[in-house]
Amino acid sequence: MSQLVVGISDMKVSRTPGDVLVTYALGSCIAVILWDPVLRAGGMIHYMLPLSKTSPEKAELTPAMFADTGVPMLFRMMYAMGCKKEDLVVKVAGGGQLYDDSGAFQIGHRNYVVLRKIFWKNDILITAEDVGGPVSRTVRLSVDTGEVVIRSKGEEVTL
Amino acid sequence: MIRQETLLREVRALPTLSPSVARLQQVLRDPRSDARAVEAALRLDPAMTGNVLRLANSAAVGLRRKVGDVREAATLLGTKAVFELATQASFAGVIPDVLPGYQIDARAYWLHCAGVAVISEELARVVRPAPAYLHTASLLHDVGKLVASLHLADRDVEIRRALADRTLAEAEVELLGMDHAELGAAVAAHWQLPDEIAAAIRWHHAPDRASEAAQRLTDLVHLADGLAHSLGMGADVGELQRTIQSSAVQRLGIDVRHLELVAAASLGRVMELQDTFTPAGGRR
Repeated sequence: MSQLVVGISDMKVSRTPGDVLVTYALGSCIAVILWDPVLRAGGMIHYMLPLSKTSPEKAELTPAMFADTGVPMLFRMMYAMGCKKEDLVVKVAGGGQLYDDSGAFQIGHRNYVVLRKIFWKNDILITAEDVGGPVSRTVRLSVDTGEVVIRSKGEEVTL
Repeated sequence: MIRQETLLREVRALPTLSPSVARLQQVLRDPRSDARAVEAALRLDPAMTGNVLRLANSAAVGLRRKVGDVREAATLLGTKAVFELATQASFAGVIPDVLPGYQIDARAYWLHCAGVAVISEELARVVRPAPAYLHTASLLHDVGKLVASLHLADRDVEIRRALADRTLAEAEVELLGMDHAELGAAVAAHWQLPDEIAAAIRWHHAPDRASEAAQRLTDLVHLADGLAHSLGMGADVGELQRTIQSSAVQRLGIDVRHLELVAAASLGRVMELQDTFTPAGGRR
């Protein structure tokens, strides 16, 4: 039983009772949180950017940096633990945005759009999400219960 | 409201960067300076020498072999790089364990400073050339928070209320009469840093107001600061409540794809630079 920290451009899975997956300070980055209520297994990715074509070399080394390489890999890691696609509960958090009229800082929005596209293509539904806004989020997943708690603006909410 | 004189007095009470950083700056201004001059500037400061060697041999620098003395480090890395390492070591030494008010600790604050330093350099690779003092101005851009945080401690309710409909900088003006950028410029002046660095610190949230001489430097620090916050490097109480000035984006001619490229190129180096930080237990 331990706390597993998911860094920026990182992903982790666990089916150890009592484990908590946590990622800190999601700004424009996005966390996808998966939970299997049958096996009581969980997984989390904290990806930074939408598309691996930005840097194929980095994607090779660190697939979790990008939505298009990292998210499919997270699902495969869950399947490798024995999870079935139809059992997975999918939650999404992050994709925040600075106050920016120039459009140059739309990374959060692009991260979200690409994720929706990946999910749409693969027929995956989002159960709950907390995205956008000038907000930084810290996310915790309890592997036992599947409870997802988001902390931002000094308050905690259950997703 | 706190009197401005009180804040400015505390600026003068802040521990200064090591005198060897100022000596190195002098050395750097002389185009004829070499590795021997760098060694001479650090000779009287064994603690700084040790820190510079530790950093020079860290993963963040990525030398193929270990260096044993400052002259060797300066020969291999260049005098500018050794100056940057000395600035990092010296600055890390004045960061307190926590910055109350901003609700961050020394590690998160350092992560943000390191993030802006690496990102601004990567940005300057996209929109060449890099202006002088880019590393130092980026690393020190939030130095005003070291002073401001003392007066924001135990005022969480007020801060949250001020942040309800304001940016972080506006909330600071509301609560302190000035923001961390203005305080930071006062620190830069007190530390006798070059005018361009003080200007970039002063206007890093309002780059349109920077002088022509400091414009490019300030624009780069402004956008690197925005990107570091966007990527969650050192999130503080202000979260993403910070404004990007479109004019800075236009002056540098960048778009979202450039920023994504810079983010991908920067992350590894930021993490390595973060790992070089050893909490100094500065003061307080």
